Amino acid sequence: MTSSKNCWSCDKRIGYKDFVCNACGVLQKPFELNPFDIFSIDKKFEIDAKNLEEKYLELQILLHPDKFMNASQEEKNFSNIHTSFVNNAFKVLRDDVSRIKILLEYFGYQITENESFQDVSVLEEIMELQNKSMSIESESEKNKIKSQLMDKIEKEIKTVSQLFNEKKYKDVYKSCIKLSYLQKINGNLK
Amino acid sequence: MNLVNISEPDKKKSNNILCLGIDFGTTNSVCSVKIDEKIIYIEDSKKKLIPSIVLFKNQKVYIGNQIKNSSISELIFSVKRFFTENPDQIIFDQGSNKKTAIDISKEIFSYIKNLSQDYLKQNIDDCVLTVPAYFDEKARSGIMRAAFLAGLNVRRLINEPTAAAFAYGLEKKKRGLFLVYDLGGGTFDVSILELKEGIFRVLGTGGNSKLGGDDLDILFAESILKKYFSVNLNEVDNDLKLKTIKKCKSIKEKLLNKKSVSEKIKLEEDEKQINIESQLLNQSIEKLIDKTIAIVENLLNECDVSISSVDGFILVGGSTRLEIVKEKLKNKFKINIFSELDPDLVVSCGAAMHGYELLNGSKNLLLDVTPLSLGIETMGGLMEKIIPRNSPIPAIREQIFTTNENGQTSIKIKILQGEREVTSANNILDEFVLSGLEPKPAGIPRIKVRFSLDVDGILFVSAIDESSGKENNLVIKTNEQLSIQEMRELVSSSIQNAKKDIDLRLLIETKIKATKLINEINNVKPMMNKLCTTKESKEITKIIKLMKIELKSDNKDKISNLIDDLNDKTKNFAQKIIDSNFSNFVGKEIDLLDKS
Repeated sequence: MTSSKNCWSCDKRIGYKDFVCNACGVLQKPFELNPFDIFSIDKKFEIDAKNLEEKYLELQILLHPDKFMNASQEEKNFSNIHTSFVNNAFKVLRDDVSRIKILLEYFGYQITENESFQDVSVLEEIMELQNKSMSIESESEKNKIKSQLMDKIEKEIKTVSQLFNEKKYKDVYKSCIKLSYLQKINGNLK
Repeated sequence: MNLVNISEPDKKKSNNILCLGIDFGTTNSVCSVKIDEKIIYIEDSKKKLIPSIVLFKNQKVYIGNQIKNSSISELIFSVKRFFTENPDQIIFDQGSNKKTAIDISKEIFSYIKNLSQDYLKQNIDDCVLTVPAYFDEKARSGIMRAAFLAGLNVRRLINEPTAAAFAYGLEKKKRGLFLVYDLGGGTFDVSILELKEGIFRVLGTGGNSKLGGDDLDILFAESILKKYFSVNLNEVDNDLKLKTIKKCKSIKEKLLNKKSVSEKIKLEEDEKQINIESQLLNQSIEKLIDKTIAIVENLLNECDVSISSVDGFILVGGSTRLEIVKEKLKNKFKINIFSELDPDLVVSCGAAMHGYELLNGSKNLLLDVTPLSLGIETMGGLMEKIIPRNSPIPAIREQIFTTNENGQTSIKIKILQGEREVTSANNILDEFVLSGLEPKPAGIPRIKVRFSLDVDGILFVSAIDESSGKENNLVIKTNEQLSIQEMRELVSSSIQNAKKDIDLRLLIETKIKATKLINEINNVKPMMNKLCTTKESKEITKIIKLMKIELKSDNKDKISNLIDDLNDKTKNFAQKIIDSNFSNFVGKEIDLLDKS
């Protein structure tokens, strides 16, 4: 991988991941980066949400279109694309399921969407929760199911963390599917 | 810094770039500008509130406080309401004088621009324009188009509650988590904002673009007629109905600081002196306020924000002056309520502050979200969300499409906005036809469609055929509207060159018309080659060529003549299009490949 590039404006040699040229101060062309690299944080499942948010806001201050109102048309366009990338990456990293998928890809695990979901007991567990959440009648019942769900989500996140440490990526993926179902049910409860 | 209104100073010279902050409201509009640390409101007959009312009379246009003593049925009001339906529909039709909501709003914008120039004694084009946060794509771009047509250069479109929060953040140094509750004349918005040093960030937005003070007036009028006249408001003829609602609106305003008022109300021959208590007002509008409260609760829930972490409500919009609104919010949520900044003026004030900072540089940043999900129709008439609501803007997302029939050479894409599963329940923004694909087996072509939502919340859609790599191989057929981007380019390039305001406006309109026409013809070019004789095609192409050259100049008359020529030459062709069969041109259904 290239570690440096030339500034498109002043042609000076600058770092590959530099958003702004340190010589002429001009915004660089948008480039594809792993979401973790955008925020310069470690590629691991556990994430410091507060730190991520701080870095997100720092990048907004650097890249947002409002900061390029009087800049050249090129820089305006670049700023729009950069900021969109940052917004997307922030979203991907904050969501457990999408973060897992990005990491699995990074560690070289091939996700095949069609891979059948073998574990019948897990399927049954989810079906049961789904049915329960569809037939809620009272607020207290809703809260009960919500806290059940939260417990399960928390537990699954711990499992994923453990499995990542053990490099059992196939099992991570299985947990990830379960987690995505749990979160979907949780989202529908809102 | 103080929110003072300077009374006619002799000099308005400033070292900074000026930028108007325009709040185009359903009932009233407000315009302000920040000059040397002060916010100055542009007045219309010494009033800060400019009624959003237009009157066409004797070939003349009258606006705002210019209008006096005229019959209510002649007036055009609440024009902003039409933007959520269709900004291009004709809402005023008097013989040859036909006006759309955009045309009428353009008059209001021109009026505001002229008032500002008279006051500032200099030309001013730059503005930050506000829109209800819950406005959809059509309404947003419609308002922007109206402002462009008035010769205003819209530097940024911002959401009304966001603008208000910006003002509170700067003016009142508010920091923390706030709910902005904005009940305007025709719309209701609620936004959750985090105000931090240097960054004001919207976490989520909700609302109803068809609920506002106007609806409160109607409900109040209904109750009064029922109680004192035993008459149903809907059974009253239109003119009298409007008069009654206007009367009830003024009673509502009197009840803001009184428990009861004694008023003479006349319904046809029946005239009564009645004593109206604020309780009647409260009873009649209570349900509507409850509706807004339910929207606030949903938003909190959706954003995972608990009310205990919120530092307070910021009240915006004239209708929040009603005591019942404050009471209900207080009882329900039990948190602080802020309304120190005039709820009628705060939006324009925030826009002016933001405009000043945008053009003169600043350390404050405003981050906003899109209020409604954007997506496309997939097989079976369901909506696939591409940019979900409350996503931060700008946002760029891509989606791959393919064909579902062998040899298919075109694909139809419906762009949708809304939250429902079924296409028909959502707002259809546009329909695309991608044609000119190389015939290939079903599922092989890869068409990348890109949704790009810019920082003004305006959507641009583009497509590229990945298998051939050729972008220009595709013909994108959109509706005949000129894109905001094209309009922005036209306006900013014309503003740089033009001298006189009126000429400028006509020139812009002519250029827009010409560009629109060229686009229309380009969209049907493949058919033109099929349906026209070589001679006809050649003539049309020649005029288009000339027109493109003239568009770079500012010769309005020449462009106008060419438009007439082109219309004349394409008459024949237009008829042929109508006669020909469209169906073989348009693909039937689209398939969606999941992006793996």
